[in-house]
Amino acid sequence: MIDFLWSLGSFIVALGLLVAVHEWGHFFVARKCGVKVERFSIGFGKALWRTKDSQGTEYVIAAIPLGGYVKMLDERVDQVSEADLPHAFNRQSVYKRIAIIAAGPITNFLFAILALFIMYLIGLDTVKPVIGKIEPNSIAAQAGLEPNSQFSRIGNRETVDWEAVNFELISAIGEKSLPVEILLPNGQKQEKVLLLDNWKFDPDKVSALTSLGISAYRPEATTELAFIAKHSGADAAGLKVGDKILAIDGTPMQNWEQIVGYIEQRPDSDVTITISRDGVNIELPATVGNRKHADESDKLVGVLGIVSKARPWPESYLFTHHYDPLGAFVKASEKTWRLMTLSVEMIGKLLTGDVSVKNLSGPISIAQGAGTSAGYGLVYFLSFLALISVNLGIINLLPLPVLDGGHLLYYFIELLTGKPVPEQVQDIGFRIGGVLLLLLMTIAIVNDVARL
Amino acid sequence: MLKQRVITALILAPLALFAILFLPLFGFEILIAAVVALGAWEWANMSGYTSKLAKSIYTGLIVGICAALTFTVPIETIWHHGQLSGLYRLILGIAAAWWGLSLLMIIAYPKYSVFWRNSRVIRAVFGILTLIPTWVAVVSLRTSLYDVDPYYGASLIFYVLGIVWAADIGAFFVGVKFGRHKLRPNVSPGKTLEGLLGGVGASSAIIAFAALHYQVDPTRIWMHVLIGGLTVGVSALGDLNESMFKRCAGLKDSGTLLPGHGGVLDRIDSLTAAFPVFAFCYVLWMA
Repeated sequence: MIDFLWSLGSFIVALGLLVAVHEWGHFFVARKCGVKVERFSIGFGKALWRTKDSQGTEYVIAAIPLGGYVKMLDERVDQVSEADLPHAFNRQSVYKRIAIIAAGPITNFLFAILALFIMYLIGLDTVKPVIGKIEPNSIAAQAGLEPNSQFSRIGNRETVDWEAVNFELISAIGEKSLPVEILLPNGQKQEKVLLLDNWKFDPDKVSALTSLGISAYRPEATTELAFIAKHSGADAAGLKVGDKILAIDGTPMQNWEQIVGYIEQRPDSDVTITISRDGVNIELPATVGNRKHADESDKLVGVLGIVSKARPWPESYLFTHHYDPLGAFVKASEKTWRLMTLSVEMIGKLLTGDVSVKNLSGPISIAQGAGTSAGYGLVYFLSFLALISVNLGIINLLPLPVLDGGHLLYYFIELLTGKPVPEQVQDIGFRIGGVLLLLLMTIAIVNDVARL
Repeated sequence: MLKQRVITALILAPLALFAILFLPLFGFEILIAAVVALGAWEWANMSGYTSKLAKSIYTGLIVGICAALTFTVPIETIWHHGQLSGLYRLILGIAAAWWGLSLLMIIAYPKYSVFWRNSRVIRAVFGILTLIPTWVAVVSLRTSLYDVDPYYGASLIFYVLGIVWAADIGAFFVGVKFGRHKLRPNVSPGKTLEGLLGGVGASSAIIAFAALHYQVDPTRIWMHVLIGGLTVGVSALGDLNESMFKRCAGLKDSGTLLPGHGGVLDRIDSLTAAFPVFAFCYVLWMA
């Protein structure tokens, strides 16, 4: 319940902010162009709060937080007095109308740069993309990738962290092969080629890395306990943080994998755990609990409620994205640009069928993403905001009537023909756009619900 | 007016239903040719051929082309190994191009209209480009997968009729019942936001239903949606196109054949665009 509220709260903050940013772009340029703005609303429906400024613009926060709008004076909609005519949207030159409409998405892109700029100024701790394990017979194994080597380049883009690796792998969906450059532990660089002909990748189920047979390096787990879950079997047995597990039921335990394997095989049974606490060996009886198996839900596995202490990360694997203002700005712009191109690529892959519509996400997935990233802290939330802001901008630029891109399409046609697109033809566009949007939204929401 | 409209529709609908489902294929070809012939008679009038003789010649020409197509491409060879006959493909391709051109003509109107406005011949040719592909499209859809399931083609025809009519019916009834927010009160006072949404919602429902019915593969569902949306849009284009020609001819209705509905063309104008474009997309991407 707390999780849900947290997700919902973060989602409303994120969406409200991004919509406000988008609409503010329209609003700002409209004012600059001399168009009278009658209302600037965040959210739809019933007004919760409103105020008016000296130029007669009403600012509203409304009940349904899924969007917002800027209402400009327009002869097609309102009775416009003679004096106000030059301030009506439809009386503006086509260039001004293009500027006003394009301002929304552009502001979203600028906002993404700003969010990432702040993120890089604060600094983001991350790890280098070092390979941990390679699954035998996997695509990665066939390409000759080896554990402990680091991805330095994928395709023709440098990959400094796992996020970048993920972006480039996703962007390669539908390709036949993918050249990668890896950095061996001895500092040597090597070119390898991943053959993607038989790559089966369902982003819903597994990550791109897992589907290629790669797992990321993480420090080895020790047999020392770092965390005991409340009300768990371990808690009841009196295990404490800092205890070292030596044996279970008399079987010596060499490493953490062995402990996990032993416990998982014994759901709902009693075991005796031998631990070392402050140099003294103690035997504790414990009852193993159970949970559902991750893949086969009719199977139960044992669970004790303990987390091991990992060895520290090797210093050389850690680094911080931290830049001076100029560097942060450059990095933020580069990253925003990559997010934009990646979004467009993904839409393209959706059209060619390389990515299934099953992977379309709607508000629920976005809300979960918002909750998760907000939970990790401000820096991650900023990165999430940038991602969604770019997406919002790109989607709004799709040439579907109803969206900004649709209006822009009409205005560009007007530029070419020298007269506005006839109302009836605009209606045709609205029909096509309306049907496409309604159905795409339905698919996205159905996908979301199916994933819950 | 509305009452007369509904009565005419109630008489015609069961007949159409029966014809689409149960008429033998050859009989179906003839029936569609007959409907197209009625359309041709009215189109001749709109093109400026007002004498009975000229109208008969034009109608004869259209029927003649349909007959010639029937004999060059016998029913069994319309589809061969899941491929539509090359000639029919070509005709559908030309039709798709024609509706693209027609969109440009409407956007530019009245610019460039001098080229066709004053030429009866060109307008008559436009009629051929509109009517013949409609016949080809309906016949191609009806005969699609006939060996596997004799009703499959009929279902495709109902699908197209469904999307086109759902848009109009949904827009009309939702607009009348709930229409409150006028879209552009100073330009077209009849249009409301609710009406537009009603039309969009009704068509979307039909498209979604069809996706479930035909069990469209998830990787191709966007294609299905796109073609459905395109069909909705292009049907409105058929409407506009006919209005544009009527305006040139100074007519309100294309004819007086159907009580309450005006002429045959007024009824089938949206279908003359929807069927060829849908069939073209179907042949290219769905079959």
